[in-house]
Amino acid sequence: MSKIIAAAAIRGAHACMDRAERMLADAVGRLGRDAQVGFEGTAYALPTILALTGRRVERLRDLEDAVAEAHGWIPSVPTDSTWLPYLGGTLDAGAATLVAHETVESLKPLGGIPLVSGFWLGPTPDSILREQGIKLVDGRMPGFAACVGALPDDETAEQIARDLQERNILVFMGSHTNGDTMAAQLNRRGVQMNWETFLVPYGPDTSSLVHAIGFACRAAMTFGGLKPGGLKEARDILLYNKRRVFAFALALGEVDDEKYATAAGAINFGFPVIADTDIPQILPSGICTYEHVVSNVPHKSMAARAVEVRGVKIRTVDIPIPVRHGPAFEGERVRKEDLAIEFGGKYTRAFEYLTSRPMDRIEDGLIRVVGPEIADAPEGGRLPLAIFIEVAGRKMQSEFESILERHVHSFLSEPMGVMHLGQRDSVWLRISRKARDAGFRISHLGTVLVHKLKNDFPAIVDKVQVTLFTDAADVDALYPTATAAYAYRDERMGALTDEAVDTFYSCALCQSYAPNHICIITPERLGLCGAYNWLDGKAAFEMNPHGGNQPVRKGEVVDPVLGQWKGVNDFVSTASNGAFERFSAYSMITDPMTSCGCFECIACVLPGTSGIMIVDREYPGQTPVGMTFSSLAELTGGGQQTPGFIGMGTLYVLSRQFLSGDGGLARLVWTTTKVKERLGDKLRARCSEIGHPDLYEKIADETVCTDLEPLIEHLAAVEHPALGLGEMI
Amino acid sequence: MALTGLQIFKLLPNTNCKKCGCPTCLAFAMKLAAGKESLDKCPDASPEAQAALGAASAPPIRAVTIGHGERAITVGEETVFFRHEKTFVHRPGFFRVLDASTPASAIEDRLTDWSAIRIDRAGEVFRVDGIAVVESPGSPEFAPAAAQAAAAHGLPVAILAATTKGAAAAAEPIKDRRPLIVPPAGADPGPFVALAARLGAALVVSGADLDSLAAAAADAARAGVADILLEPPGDDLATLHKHLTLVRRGALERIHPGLAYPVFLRVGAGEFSKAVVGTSTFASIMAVADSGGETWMPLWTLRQNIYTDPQQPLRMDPGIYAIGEPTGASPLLVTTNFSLTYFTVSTELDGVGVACYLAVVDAEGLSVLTAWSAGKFSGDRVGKALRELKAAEHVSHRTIIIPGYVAVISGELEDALGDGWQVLTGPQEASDIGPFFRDVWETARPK
Amino acid sequence: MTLTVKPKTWPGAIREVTLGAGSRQGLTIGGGKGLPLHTFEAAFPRRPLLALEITDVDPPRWVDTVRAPWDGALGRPDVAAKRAVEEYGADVVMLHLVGTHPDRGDRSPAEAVEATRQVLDAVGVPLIVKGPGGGSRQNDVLVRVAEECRGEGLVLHSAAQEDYKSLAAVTVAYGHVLVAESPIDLNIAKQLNILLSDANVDMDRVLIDPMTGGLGYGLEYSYSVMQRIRLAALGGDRMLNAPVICLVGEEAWKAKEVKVDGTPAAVWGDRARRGVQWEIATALPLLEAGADLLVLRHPEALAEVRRVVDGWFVAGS
Repeated sequence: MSKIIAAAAIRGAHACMDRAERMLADAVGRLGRDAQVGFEGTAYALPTILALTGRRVERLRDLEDAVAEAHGWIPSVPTDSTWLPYLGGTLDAGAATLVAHETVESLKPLGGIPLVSGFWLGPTPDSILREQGIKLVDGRMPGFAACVGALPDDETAEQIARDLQERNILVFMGSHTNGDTMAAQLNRRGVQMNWETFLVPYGPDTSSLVHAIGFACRAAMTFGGLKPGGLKEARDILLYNKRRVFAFALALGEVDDEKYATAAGAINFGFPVIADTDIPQILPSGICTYEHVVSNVPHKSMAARAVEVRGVKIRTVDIPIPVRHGPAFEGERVRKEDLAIEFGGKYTRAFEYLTSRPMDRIEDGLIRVVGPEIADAPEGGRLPLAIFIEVAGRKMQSEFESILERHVHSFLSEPMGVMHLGQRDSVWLRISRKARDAGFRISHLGTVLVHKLKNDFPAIVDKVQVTLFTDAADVDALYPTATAAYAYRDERMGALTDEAVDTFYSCALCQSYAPNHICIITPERLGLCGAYNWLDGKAAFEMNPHGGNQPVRKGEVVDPVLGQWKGVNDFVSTASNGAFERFSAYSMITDPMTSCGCFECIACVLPGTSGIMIVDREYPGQTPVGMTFSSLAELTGGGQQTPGFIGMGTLYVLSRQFLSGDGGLARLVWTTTKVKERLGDKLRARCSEIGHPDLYEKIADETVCTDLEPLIEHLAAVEHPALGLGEMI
Repeated sequence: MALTGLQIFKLLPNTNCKKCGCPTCLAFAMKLAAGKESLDKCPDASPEAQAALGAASAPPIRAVTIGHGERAITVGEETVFFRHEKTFVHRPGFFRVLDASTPASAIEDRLTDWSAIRIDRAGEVFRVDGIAVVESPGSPEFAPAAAQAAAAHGLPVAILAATTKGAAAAAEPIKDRRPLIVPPAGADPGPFVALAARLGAALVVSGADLDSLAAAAADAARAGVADILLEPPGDDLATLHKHLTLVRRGALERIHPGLAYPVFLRVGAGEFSKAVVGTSTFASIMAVADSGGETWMPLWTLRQNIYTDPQQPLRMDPGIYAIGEPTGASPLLVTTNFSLTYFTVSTELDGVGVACYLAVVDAEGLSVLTAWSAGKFSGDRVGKALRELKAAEHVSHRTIIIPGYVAVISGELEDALGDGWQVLTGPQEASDIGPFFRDVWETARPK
Repeated sequence: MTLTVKPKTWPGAIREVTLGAGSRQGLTIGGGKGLPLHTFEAAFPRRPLLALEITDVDPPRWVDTVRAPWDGALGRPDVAAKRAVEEYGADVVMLHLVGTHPDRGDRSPAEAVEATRQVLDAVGVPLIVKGPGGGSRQNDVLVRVAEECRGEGLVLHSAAQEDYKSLAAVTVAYGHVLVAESPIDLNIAKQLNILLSDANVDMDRVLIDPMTGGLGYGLEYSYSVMQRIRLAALGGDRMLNAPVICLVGEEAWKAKEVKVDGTPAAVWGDRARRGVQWEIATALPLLEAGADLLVLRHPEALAEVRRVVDGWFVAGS
């Protein structure tokens, strides 16, 4: 922590405490220790003091005890020669400042200074807390801003207020800068300030800001059920606020010692400070989720920056486009005769490319159309198109780019009158005349993407900007970058190995019908439904940490050939409710994984052939093992370990680790034509890789035979490599 | 610990001789492991295999068949305690109690009516499973006649005997129809065991507790009765439930060979709750006294629910189902043949009170989204199915409402149907159908 | 010879949850230490409770045969509540605020509070308050009711995974019990409880509603998911050991089979009686699968289930 801030905050704390103690002594002198003290309309006495000390202050004598306790928290001001005071002492000084502030505020009425006067609303009664505080806790209101001081001019004050209002953020105002206050500025602009407009002016003194803290404390005690008491209880209240009440302070204008001290108090609650002046920054996270103090922020981007620093997630309910939209329009076709404009297909180059950027490189919500707009193109005309999406997020990882990009299709299919097909550089997009006539523009594609990406992936996407290039030269210029990215992703996914990672992902989405079933998804073994790979599992966990996909630390290797790890075995034992103790990732004979019921294929041993067969779900006929897919499914499914039988995703066949513990791909003696065709050249390539370039042709299918005896003859005739491997059981 | 299929396979000759009826030894081994076959089907099993598999390969609960021909009913062969562990295998049989002292002509009328009953529900046909003929002690001559009449209708027969003599008289003439002999409560089992053994009939044994029940079954088996059912004690539901539970658990844990049989229950008039508990808790044959027709639909339906294979969801027959009294101008909706989907949608449509047609297409019993992602509810498939169901002949318009979750098939479906068909995307959840009719259908409906 | 079937013992038990507080006479459910109804081998300190459902407005979808016993009380929640408790012997009342649904009367949160107050004034038993179902109206209504009737230990029905935060907050703030509803899915039931627990809701104030499929309409799914939830709970899973509530009446009386006359009469019988039996045949299997609180509609169904439960817990204990 900056020493300058620490010193200023500690100085400020002393100053505030002195004033509080003077006022308190004065009040005691005039009214005696039994005089009552408190705010109107609350059952929480002095709520900040209650939360921080557990003391329910009702009379001046109680207040004396609280103040004495808080005074003890303040360290002495660090001298020039001390280098190690900082964080803990400064935060304690901040907490003491809040106690001093609340003391001052509570004593004002006793000294004849009203808390409510003119547009100043004073402390918030419980009735409003109940109505509004719940919105902070349940997420209807994304957060609150405590605005400290005043802006350079009235217009800027209004702009900041509007920026915050637009984001549905509750605005508290207090303190002053050079004698002016933000509330007075808004008042001069004729802005209504009350609980209906979510613009709430507390008071002109810095001490009035404690009402915002009191509001947060009461929200935690009311809706979080937290009981005040000692230190541990105070800590729980602070943590509750950090996790659930997305508040921050805007330091407007010069920051004096008292404001530093107050800010230190707020940081205890995880509320960061965003300043428009050049004060020292405190960036590394520790108490707050991200940065603590960010300075020199231009007024224009202050609200946006604050939202980002506090990690406030703002959802838009309605996407501002001129046509209806939603999943109901996903499959609609835009026919030739209804066409306003089209992109891609076989006519022009059209692609979509999503990439991630550092947070500060993106202007959230920026949408640009570079090149002709819809009105510039002839009726039913064609244009090239590059949809270039840049996203940033605190938890964004480059690995998620492809997952987000895959959603472009469903997002752009949702507006009525827009048809989107394909992905990457095979995009075909049409906009209907009806949509165009209703006011739909190319830029609205960007609007949809910005809103949907942020709404649907709040955990990983914080900022989105979209550029739509419709000029051939620009589109061609970006194209090599996009194709290089596609290729890089494919290569990376291909190169991702089980050894290279320390964590696998579980999938329990099928436990509803296979109670003890659990999928372990590794980079080299996708989920048996074929729909979920390791990256999907990883992203799903980031997005929903309590969901059906959990990280599984591999831990110590138990058996490298079978693919057993201690961490996986432990996880499986717990997740299967104790039914299974060991799981092999690479074997269908020894401790094979369980199968739910939604496997794409079933692999099963074929005694007499030294090999295995794979049958897919669509294949209705008889197989060499003497069972159809459905009878095989009956004994393989249901979440049991059935040695010799596993459900699997078709693509697993291509993995380097395909049943590597049992002999691998060379064991495959029979499968269906459908599986062979689907894997095609990739399977041929794998066959070559394992040193059997002609294996593809040697693998029998239903056109060769569906009985065991002819299969054995066939294998001998073609000299299938499985014969040299020995029986599996 | 039961042996796995592969472990069993290693004990088999691996000749793939097919004499057991399975195409390969592995297929046979898997059936043995699942408790669906017994080792004696394999003529070449080695003594080592027999020793190793022995008791372990016999199903934990024996199969018992009552009746003969098309309507014979087989029960037993259950392998699990909870249906979600695998499935319950054989639906219990509800035998309708028939008082033999009723005049013969009335009996004949009833049997004619009862044997003809067929109620189709979600892919299953509900029928009267059998007749439980009550021997009235005062008039022993009636029971044989009633039993023969029931057997003549092809129905399985249970004889709720009052006396050994009565039981013999009723069972003897229909002995090749595999009747079930049920001795009176508290009777000396000896003569009934001898009778069942002599006739090759199935027999119910009872006992005052688990021990005596198992012992009675073991005695009967030793005396040559092959098909045995256990009647567990319990005058109140809690006691009965306890014994039903212990019998099943004991059978699965193979603690005594006398427990390896299905269970028989008598349900008296007004004992509906007992029938419910029996149905959900392991009873296999129930003689149910008639206390009004309303007893039957709930019991059959409960049995259908409990005995549905959790991995093979109930399916509706594809078709166009009328909700209310629709006309040519009524809405036409389409959904999958997953019974739960159908029931949810049809119940909601019923509640909304808008007469309409609901087309149910074969999507292999999957729910809408699952079916779509498995390719069973694509625009092409739905289009083809609607043509086969002659959807166009039911309505005068050309608008089809699809489930909201598969909005994505709308274009493809329009193409597949051609002929001016328009697709209207309905709500995702059935509960929103009411507002959908009001807000969307009313404005979009063909005029 | 003495056969011993080893009694099952379990490391876990069902939580005890008390319904009703303040002016209510509190009643506790849960506490079972074995498989449901296995009173012969495990301790069950609390017996399952039976509630009857009443509504704020005349419920348009109720079929005549279940309307009959409520004649003169439909849409009069105070009268219905009194009848439910005093005449029909319900342990608990469930006030279903049907009328607040935008399509079924669109009554305001204030009117919902008014109806709830009437019931609270009329009877002293614990009260379940069921909102109009998903979406923002559900929250508007239940949040208001929870706030205005604070301290009464209401059972708020219900919070779902997508939208639980508001109800979690008022459950904590105003001392109620929250029903966590999941769509026949053990994992979602568990996730939701984890989320509620994260939102500082005490697990001693949570009931699970695994969603009831009525007889013939998905009962088997509810039955099996409840058995699995109970097995997990008894196995020691503290995020799944909340007591279970089932809305039996609502589902049973939706069935087509209770509405039609049906032929032949030999197997359809009397329609009114069939409806009652449909409800009984939904309720009993769910008790067996682990329900701790059943909400019924027809007093005759309640009477029969009551007879079974009372007999069971006397005979079995």
